[in-house]
Amino acid sequence: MNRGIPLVFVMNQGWNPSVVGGSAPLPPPPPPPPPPPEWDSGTLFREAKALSDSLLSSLEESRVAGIRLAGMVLLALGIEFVILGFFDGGWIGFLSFPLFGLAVIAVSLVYLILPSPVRAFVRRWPWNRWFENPDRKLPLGVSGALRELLRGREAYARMSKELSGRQAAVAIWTLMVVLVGAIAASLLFDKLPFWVALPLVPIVAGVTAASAVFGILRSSPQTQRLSLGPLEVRLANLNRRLYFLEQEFWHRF
Amino acid sequence: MVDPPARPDLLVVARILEALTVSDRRLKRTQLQMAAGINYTQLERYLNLLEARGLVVVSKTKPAGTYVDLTSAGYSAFVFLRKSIEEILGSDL
Repeated sequence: MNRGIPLVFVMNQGWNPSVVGGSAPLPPPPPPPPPPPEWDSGTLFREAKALSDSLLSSLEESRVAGIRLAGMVLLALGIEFVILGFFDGGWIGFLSFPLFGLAVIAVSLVYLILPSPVRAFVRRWPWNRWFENPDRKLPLGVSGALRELLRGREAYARMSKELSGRQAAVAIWTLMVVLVGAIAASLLFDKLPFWVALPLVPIVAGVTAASAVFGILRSSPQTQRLSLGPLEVRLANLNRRLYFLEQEFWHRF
Repeated sequence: MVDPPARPDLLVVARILEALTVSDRRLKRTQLQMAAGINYTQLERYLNLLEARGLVVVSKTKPAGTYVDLTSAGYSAFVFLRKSIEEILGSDL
């Protein structure tokens, strides 16, 4: 019958079976628990912030490209309005069409030529606003990193909405360019001698056709997705991973 | 008794868990509120939620006030969050 190892109480060691007989060596004391890691070191936060910043800056570039596209379509529309104004009969048409066309061109040139005001305009969008506030208290560590990642997810949600709006706007403007271009071409033939109008018509038709093709291409959902390319893939991946993180967390805890 | 949030925000949970972890897993309620940067009502809601899930223990003592302790499950939850974020950052995004 095995009675087991008798326990002996040793001061400062508690009940220890290994000291029976006094010959067995004492086991080494367990290693102390590791010190808590530097949660507030900010390394994780800085990595997350770098990722989020990179995603948001790519998104901003895409948005500026979209505004430039709008400027180009408006420019084509403006040129056509100028032509319409010069060849329309009445004074009202003569004055209003070129003035409107020139105003549109001026606005589009601002978008096309001066990128800094455009960027300043874009930076005032809500999800970038807090980013410019130097007084904010940034939590570092895990929660700070999580907040940075969630900022990327918010950008993804807004980007999806923005793409839909951009598609609709480009489609409408393209339709306008085609209509006004057709009217301008017919007016050229009506008001000018045939041999004068003939070389001008290809120019108008070319601008109209290029705008139409470009606009239609850009307004299709697939092209919009392709134009964002890797950025959307990255944002979608981040979105998916954060979703699974949340699901897993609430499932486990 | 304030009801727990219907759709809890993981970021608020992370703030509470992190504040407790860096403070030796024990804080007074007011200190926790300041450290996590959330208002009183929100803290009440989330403490109810976290206590129901066994992540924290809220103990009320008369002279000393209300203390919030992080349980081992709460610490595990925080470690899980940290590892998950590290995995996301280490992935090919």
